[in-house]
Amino acid sequence: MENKLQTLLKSRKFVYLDGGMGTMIQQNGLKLGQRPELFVLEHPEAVAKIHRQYLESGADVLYTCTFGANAHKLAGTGVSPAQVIKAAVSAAQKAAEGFPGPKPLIALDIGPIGELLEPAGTLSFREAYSLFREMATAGEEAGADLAVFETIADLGEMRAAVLAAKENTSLPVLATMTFEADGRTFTGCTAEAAARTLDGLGVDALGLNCSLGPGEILPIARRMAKCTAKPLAVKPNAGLPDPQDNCYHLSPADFAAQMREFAPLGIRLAGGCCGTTPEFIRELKKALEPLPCPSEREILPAAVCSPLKTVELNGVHIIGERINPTGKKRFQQALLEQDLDYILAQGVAQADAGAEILDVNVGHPGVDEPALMEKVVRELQGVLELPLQIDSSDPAAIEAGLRAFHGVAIVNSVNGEEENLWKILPLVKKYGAFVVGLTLDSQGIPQTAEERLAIARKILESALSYGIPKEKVLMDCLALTVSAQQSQAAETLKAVRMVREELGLKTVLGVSNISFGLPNRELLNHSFLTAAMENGLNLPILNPNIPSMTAAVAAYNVLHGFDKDSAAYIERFSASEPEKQAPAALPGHTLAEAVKKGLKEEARLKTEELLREKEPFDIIDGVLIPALDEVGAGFEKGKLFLPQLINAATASQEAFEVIRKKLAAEGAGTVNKGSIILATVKGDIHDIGKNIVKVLLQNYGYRVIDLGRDVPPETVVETAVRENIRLVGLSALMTTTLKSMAETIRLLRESGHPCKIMVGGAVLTESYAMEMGADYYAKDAKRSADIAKEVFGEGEN
Amino acid sequence: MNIGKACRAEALSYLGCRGNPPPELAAQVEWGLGEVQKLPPPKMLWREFLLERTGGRLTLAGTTLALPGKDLENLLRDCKKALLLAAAMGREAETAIRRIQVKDVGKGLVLDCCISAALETACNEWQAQREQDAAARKEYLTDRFSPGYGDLPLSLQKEFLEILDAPRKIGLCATPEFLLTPRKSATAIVGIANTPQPRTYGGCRDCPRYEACQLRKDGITCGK
Repeated sequence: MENKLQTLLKSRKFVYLDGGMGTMIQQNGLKLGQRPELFVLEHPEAVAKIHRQYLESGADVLYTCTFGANAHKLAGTGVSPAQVIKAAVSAAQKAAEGFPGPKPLIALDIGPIGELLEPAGTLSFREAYSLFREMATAGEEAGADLAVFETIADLGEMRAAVLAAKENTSLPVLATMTFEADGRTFTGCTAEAAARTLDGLGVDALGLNCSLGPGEILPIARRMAKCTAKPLAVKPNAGLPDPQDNCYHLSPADFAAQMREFAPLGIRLAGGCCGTTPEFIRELKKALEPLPCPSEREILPAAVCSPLKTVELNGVHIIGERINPTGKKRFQQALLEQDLDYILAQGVAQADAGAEILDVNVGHPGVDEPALMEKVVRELQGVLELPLQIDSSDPAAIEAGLRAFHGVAIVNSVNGEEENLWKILPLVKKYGAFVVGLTLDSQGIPQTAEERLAIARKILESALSYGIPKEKVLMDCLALTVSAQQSQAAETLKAVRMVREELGLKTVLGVSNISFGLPNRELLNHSFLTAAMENGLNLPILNPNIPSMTAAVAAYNVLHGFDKDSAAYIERFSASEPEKQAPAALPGHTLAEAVKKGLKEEARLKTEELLREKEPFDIIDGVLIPALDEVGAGFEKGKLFLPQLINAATASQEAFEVIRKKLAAEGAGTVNKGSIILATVKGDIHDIGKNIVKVLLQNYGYRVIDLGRDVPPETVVETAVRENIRLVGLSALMTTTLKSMAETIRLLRESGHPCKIMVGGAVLTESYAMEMGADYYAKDAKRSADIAKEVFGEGEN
Repeated sequence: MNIGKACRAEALSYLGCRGNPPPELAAQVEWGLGEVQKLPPPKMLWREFLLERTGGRLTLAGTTLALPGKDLENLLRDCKKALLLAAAMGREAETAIRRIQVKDVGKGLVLDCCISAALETACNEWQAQREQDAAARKEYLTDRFSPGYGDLPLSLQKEFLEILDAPRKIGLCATPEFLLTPRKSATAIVGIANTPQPRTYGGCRDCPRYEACQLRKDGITCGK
């Protein structure tokens, strides 16, 4: 059914939005720092009068005075969002009463919450969602005709807002973001990613507001227009603010003249933001109305994106396969221990090696897959800008991943089974994702290319029936192990070609399967990859840490003209970069010396060597820990500085990683002299101190359960009890977050769980730590290792 | 931005090193400062306000902001005007630290300190420019003073940001606990007087509270 915004858009060539509200209220005497949302409660008639002026100037849509009416911004005012929203909607309705022209739409106006989302800030996606939900439902109840989310710079926040409105109300949604002159928001989100992501989420119209003046915004709007067929909205400021008086100086006529340039882009909704007044809207309408609005515009093909990076699917792009526990004991161990740093490091290494999309699979027995998927997706986005492929067979995990990823993801995967299709395709549609179809069904993997094509066709038809556009459907024709089914390699290649030629779909293929069980896997993988690309493979899933594989892709993109002027190829292979070679002969350092000097690579190689003659625990106790002790003593005496201590610890970490891998491969358990919880307390996001302590403790052989930062006291207590933890380390940097530290200690004591607590952080003192009820004050990282020794005893396993 | 000797020394001092650093530490700091130069320059947002004194209360004219406490009263004693500053290294700095930490905590710490030093340097450069502007008008600036220092409550951060429209203009926000986010950011107030103002600022390196100072570890300076 058509909604009110769609009806309005259908009835008009251009829909006129109103102009600045803050600007007008300030003219009515609002002071800086005063909440405009309270102004509407105190002076509803003044606000109604402003609305009426906009109406008379030709606006079709009135934005209510509710920009900051969220529960966080209103905290401490004694006023609820619902109260403000009711009064504000009513003020807009009053303005429309008795107006002789067409009835305007009343848009519930919602701006950013005013705090940064995790990981840069402490606001969680869920919290943001519930704040937006509270506003959206109140707006619908008060009689608003649509919800407008505007001036938002974080695509994650915008997604929370849009999902809150769409899942809890039937209001049409207009979403506009604010950009810098370079076409990115403060959080780095590009115009393209914003357009593609919001389009995928199914908003009714999207665009940009605020930011800059019309002239500066034009190129950004042009970029957005190429990435969505949705109605585009533009609501710029009245030019750039004067640095002296902070006022906007573009005249209404100049503003309108600049706005004319937007008509050829095919924009459908236009208005003004900061500094604009009813006069601007009047001039805007006069200028725009005579111009034609092109009925169609050229749109680029669909693309996968994160907020920061778009991957257009021309040529061949590598999907990194390493975030996947299948067949990797060390990765499985990391999943079970929720060792996020290990998983993130896999992501960073793949990005550095040239992966353009990362596959994320965290399914393993004993793991809460949806919860872990959400966490890993969230954290990966904090350190990387690559788009993600959510890889799971569990619909709950897929949805958790899609919800947490703030771009256009790929879902890996569906197959030809009916039940599988109807469980997963609606999620793909809802979040605007791409989907990979595996050409298999309840009968298994068909032996012939023709049969695989038939399943591919079925999956495509099913996806189309859910409203998923064809260009977002990718097909995986399944590479089978050539050592087991030799004839299947050719069949897979044939299927890839048929899917491309007959269905016109792009294809995905897990390349590394092909060589399983054979020697020189790299050669087979490489040869198969080359053949598959020639048959039309677009998105190989492979290990990008193997240079010959990424090199094959680079070469293909040159030979087929996707790498324009071979620029990427030249950059990578130009002679200036010497080929990296593993050092054949090691310099004369012992492992202990390598650790003390902080030589990571050498520490790794020396450990591999030593493991041939020594037991893992002998290396830890006999070499690594004494070396760290020596560095620690130097640090305590002021002879060495903190970075040198950490460098030694990270070198030792390399050695430990070799030992862990060996133990995991032998099923011999892990290195663990005792388990320690570390957490940066609720409200605090300064975690470098905690991370330094973590590395050091790990290198003394302790298992560290790192709960991260901004950790609620309850989580610390629950984990301590569940894992029967004997030592808990808490850190806080700010005086304002010390109260969370005290609260965490109080709850731990109240729980009756017998554990020691050590605390650290810049503002703490020994006496304050004791006053809070801690057992130990760790003045630095070295001290925390000494405390652990006291608690667990020397050498205890 | 200009990464000079002072910035280098500042970064080293944040890492606990005063005087000549050992060569590997010096090399790490060079690496860190190199990384800083790949980041966008810090965003500086400021605005001048008239100061009002009514009923013993010090306020910024045209705003709701009251400036409590003895320390600020002393600092602004001779001032009729003040500058409000918000400076932010931005999300790129934040991501760079987080990303390098995943691979190497040691490098993470070095980069963290180099970025703090760069922010401090940018604030000093900003102040030097404003001092030049002021000198042309025969005016003089006081030291910078930030919420959280002395008896000026940290809880003023929110209002500082709001008045400068910092969330919208430079993407700088505060958490409910008044931590600035993205982290490598600072706010400050600087008084404008008609007479030369005493300068106590010598940088963190000379400060007796150096080891314990929370502001320093936050990348903020007290201005003393």
